[in-house]
Amino acid sequence: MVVDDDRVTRTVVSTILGMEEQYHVLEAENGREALEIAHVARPGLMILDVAMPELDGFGVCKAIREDPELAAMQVLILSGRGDKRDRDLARQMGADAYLTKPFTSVGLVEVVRQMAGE
Amino acid sequence: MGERDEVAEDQLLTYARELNRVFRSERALTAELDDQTRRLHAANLAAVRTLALVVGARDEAARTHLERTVDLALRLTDRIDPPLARDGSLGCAFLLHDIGEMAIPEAILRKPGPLTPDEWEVMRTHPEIGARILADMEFLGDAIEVVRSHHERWDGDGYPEGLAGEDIPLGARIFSVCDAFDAMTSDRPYRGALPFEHAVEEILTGSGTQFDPEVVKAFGDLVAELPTLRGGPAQG
Repeated sequence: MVVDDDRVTRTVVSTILGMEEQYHVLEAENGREALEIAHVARPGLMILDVAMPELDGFGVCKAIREDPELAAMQVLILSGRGDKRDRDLARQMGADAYLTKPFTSVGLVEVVRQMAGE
Repeated sequence: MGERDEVAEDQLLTYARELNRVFRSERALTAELDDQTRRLHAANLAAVRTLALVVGARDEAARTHLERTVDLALRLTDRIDPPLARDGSLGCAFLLHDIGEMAIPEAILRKPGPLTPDEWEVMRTHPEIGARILADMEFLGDAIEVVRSHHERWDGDGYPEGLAGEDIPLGARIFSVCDAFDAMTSDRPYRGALPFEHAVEEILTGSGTQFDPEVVKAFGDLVAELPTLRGGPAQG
């Protein structure tokens, strides 16, 4: 599932992964919606933008790790800032991987494949 | 523009550039594939041409007749239906039209005089035999029907099936005009060549009976414009 309040980036990610036959991609516009959908659809991987209003990507990641039903889910953090603080924070919040925008589709697919153990 | 918008724009640009690269390499691949397909097609045509000349051109005269007839038929096709003329398989079918003559005894094929009814019966099997010989050449497609139908007549009195009018494939209607024309302007074992104007006249006379009137009309326009064909009776 890809979670980003920016429609353009959300669509780019969803399009890139959607071209891979093995993935079915869900979308959410914000952190709260993401958690609601995750409870029902149980995606294997959550791709989270950092900068979102209300509940940001780190917050969603933390909530996932603290929720026994969702804790096993893989989390990939997408950040617009390539600074070390974001990367460290992502690790602290329990994210499995971290990618800086702008990313290439090849880079994105590679990270997602690694996370899926392919 | 805010920082978030810039990030989104950067991401979109990155993706657009990537798509552009993919598009270019795909286009290069397609071009390469097209090129290979063209070469393969050219090799096919060359093989067919060789086959046609080996079988259909027993001597220099037959070879000249074959090449001239095919050339004329392709020009005429280009006038009537340009896309059909560009389809290489039609030219192949023209070249191979008499391949069924392989199965006709030499004594009948080269008989210096009129054939007996029995000999005609044998001779009339060659279009069907030709179509059967070529049936496995998939790339010829519908053009094989030209081989089968090149002795059909517009009025239905031809062979092998007695097809009439537009039931006869266009390629065959075109070819029969050119074949008859070139036969008339060539020396044959039992008669000399007819003068050019006389042969044209014969074709015009056959409009609506032996030949498709539309094809004959286009043929008349074509020969009027072709200086190379107007220099008198062709040799060979």
